Amino acid sequence: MASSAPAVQEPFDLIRLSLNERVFVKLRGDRELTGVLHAYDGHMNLIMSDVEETMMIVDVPADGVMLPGSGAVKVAKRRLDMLFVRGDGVILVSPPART
Amino acid sequence: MAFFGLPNSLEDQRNKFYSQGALEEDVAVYTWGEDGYDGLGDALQEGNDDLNDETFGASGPVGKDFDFAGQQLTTDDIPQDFRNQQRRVSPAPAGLPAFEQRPAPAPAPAHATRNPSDARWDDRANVVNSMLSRVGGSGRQGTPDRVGLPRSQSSYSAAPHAASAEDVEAELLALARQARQQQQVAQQQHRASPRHHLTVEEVEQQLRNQALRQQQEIQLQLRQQQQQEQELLLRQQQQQQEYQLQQLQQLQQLQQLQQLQQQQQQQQRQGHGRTFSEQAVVQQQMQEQLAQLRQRQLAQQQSLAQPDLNQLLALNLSDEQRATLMNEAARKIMQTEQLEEKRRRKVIKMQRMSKYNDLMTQSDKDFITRIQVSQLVTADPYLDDFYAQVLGNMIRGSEDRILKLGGLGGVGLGMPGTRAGSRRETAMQRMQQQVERIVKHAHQREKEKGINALHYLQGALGKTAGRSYKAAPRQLLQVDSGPSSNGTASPAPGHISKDDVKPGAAEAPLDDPAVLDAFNKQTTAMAPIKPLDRHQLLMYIENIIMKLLDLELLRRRAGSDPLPDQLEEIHELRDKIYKDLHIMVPLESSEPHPFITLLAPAKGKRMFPRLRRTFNPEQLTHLITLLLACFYQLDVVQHAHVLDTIVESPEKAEVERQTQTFHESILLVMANVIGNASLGILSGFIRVVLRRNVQFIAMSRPGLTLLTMFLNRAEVLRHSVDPTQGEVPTPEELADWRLVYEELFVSLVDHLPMLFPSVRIQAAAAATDPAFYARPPHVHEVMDQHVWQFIALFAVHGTPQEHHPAIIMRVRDKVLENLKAVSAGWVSNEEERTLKAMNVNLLLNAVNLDMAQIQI
Repeated sequence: MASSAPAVQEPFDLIRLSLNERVFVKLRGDRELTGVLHAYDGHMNLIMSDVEETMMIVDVPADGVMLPGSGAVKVAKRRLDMLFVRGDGVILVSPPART
Repeated sequence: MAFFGLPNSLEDQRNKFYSQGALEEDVAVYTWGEDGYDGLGDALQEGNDDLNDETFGASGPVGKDFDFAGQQLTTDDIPQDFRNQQRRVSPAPAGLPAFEQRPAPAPAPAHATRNPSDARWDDRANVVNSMLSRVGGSGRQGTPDRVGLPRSQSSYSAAPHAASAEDVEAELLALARQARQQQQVAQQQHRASPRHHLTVEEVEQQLRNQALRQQQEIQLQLRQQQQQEQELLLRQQQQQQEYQLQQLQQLQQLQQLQQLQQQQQQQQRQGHGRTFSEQAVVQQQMQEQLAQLRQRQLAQQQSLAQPDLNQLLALNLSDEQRATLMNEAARKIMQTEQLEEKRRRKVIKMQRMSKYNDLMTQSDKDFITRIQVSQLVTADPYLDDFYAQVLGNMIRGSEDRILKLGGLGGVGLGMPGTRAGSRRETAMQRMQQQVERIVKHAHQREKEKGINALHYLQGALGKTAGRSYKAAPRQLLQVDSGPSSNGTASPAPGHISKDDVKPGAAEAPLDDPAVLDAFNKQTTAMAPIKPLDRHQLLMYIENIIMKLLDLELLRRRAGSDPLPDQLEEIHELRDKIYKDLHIMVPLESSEPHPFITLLAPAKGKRMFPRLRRTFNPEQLTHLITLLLACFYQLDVVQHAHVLDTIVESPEKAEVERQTQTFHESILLVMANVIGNASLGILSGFIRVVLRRNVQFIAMSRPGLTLLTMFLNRAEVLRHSVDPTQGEVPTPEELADWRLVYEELFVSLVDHLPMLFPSVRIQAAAAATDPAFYARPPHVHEVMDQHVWQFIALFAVHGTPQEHHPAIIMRVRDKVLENLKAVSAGWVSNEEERTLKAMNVNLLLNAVNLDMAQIQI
């Protein structure tokens, strides 16, 4: 059984491995996505399904003074069946952390 | 004190005083004999004194034979008159301080209250005192005879711990006085003129002069008086003995001094409040004493020499005798001188050094030693320094004593090895342990460095320039391009023990020669390999999909009539895919099998239908056989238990999704394959499944569906009568099928109730929730539907005589439950009611019964 496994030749090959798999995507603007990756391109445009989007919202008080420990960071979540992600916002694509 | 008849109840006495208004304050004021005397004494009974003399022995000589310690008189035993007398004695005149006592909580010592008015009592009190001093427990500080005792020197040294600075000073002074007195006595005895204090140089000078003089005089004297030689020798011996005695005394004194010094040091260590000036004073005193001691020694030496000379002067010796005597004397003198010189040097040295005594505390010394010791441990002891080498030698030499630090502590204190306190010993031990630990750690670090030598050398040449990083980027990904055997171990999922897995060699014979062939081949190559890890698996799947796409492209290009080279290309690609699927990897080489692992992701399952179109029939048979043989390893079977709950969870949703995908892709293909299989092949398939955990497989929805498909197909074939279809089973095949069915029946019949998801859910709920019976979870009948179908089919294949009763008996509870639910209306809606009725009827019909026939 000396069939040799295909080697990864370019970084995009790693993303290709995650096709049709659940991935974790970090986006600019404190947003994160988890969903099934269906397609991608060289610009890192992504098509994902069954997406959960997590947004970190920082509430800056009116006076603009941020006190440490003041719970001004809120987390908002939403679910989307299908999502097109424009590539310029993508910081990171990774397989989800397995427990 | 009960003996003297003081009333036990002091309170009574006090009350008596208070009642007479004599006392207003805490301290008793006695006014006896004064103007304000309240006449209390007159109130006392004076009579009945007649027997006092007898009682106290004043009439005759006092015997010493009564023991008061052993036999104490009680108040009742004491005659009344004695008690009266006591009472008279107690209110003593206020003028004498010793008598100024009130009846305090502690009984008054009666012997101290000597009443001058009672002369008789005086004598008796003395007697009592002497007796009291004999009775150890009642002796007190005020005892006259103890006060009268001269305080001896020994009583000072007996209690060194209690001595304060003043005490030490006094003691030193006393010692010095003593020494001086002795010296003076010696001088007066042996010298005409009394000597004053001398400096060391003077003493030395005098000694030298004297020695010279002595020699000269000896020569003179030796000419005289031979006859007194005997006597002289005798006297010399005597004097030598004397000298030795004196030396002994001196030695004792020196020891005393040393003890003193020790005491002093101890006190210095103990006494925190002691200042430096005090220390200096003590030091000075000590020095004085040392000097005096030395002088005394000198004087004694001289005293030895002088009578010698006097004696010699009176002697008349022969020349030879004279010569020998002279030599002897000279030698002796030289010896003593040398000894003395040595001692003096030592004393001077000690004196000089004693200035620095106890400047450092023990912890300071320990600290410094620790610092020194810590310097011994370096990364490379051999190259770094001498100390480390010595240390290394010591370690290699003897493990038990790394450093002999015990000797170090006493250096420079003037008294080597005399006081090894337990505190210091523990400190030393601790330090030794520390050293051992440090050394051990150093060794360990060395070893660790050896293991990952790469990191060890990192930074050895200093910081490398940051530029080089950019010039030559480091390899970030190290993707293993080797075969699957190189994969890292990932724990095999599932809870199947190895015992459940039968060896591949015991594979059931299949009708299909190709399948047989494949299994034979598999059994020949049995090299255990690790299961694919996730990364490898994804890589293989992507690769296979790419190749499949290429293959399909080729096929499309080739059209319905492909050219030979196109066909060859297609076959080449097909074989590659076949290889990548690991179908020919031996069954037992890994668990899960690589091919099964490839089916775990959804995309792996989805590519399965495409494979069917790609492979030739032989390859497809291999594929299906492998799938069936490893069916229990499939993720959808392994994780089927996750679905046995009505609680929704992400995990359950995922398994549900995978199961759905499995049904849509793989089971669809299987249905196609099975739908075209002959009864013989079907029997072979079932046998393959039966070998491995058929009960476990049956408890999963995909497994049960598979079995249902088998039974369905077999049922169709059994009743097939159309010879044109070419599927009519031969009698041999039918006979074989009966055997296979029997096997399946035996394997599954006891597990029939557990095939129902509702039963499993309820069992699990009952196990975790004791209150389950109060409120059984509602399980929708849809979940059980396919189980009813399977059991119905299972029964259809069986005979009414053997199999049906067994099957009905096993599922009787479930049937009755459903019937009750239907009749009593324990259902959420009408749809469920009809479903339940339908399900039960399906089974009952299979065994030639009907719901209507059963009376509840």
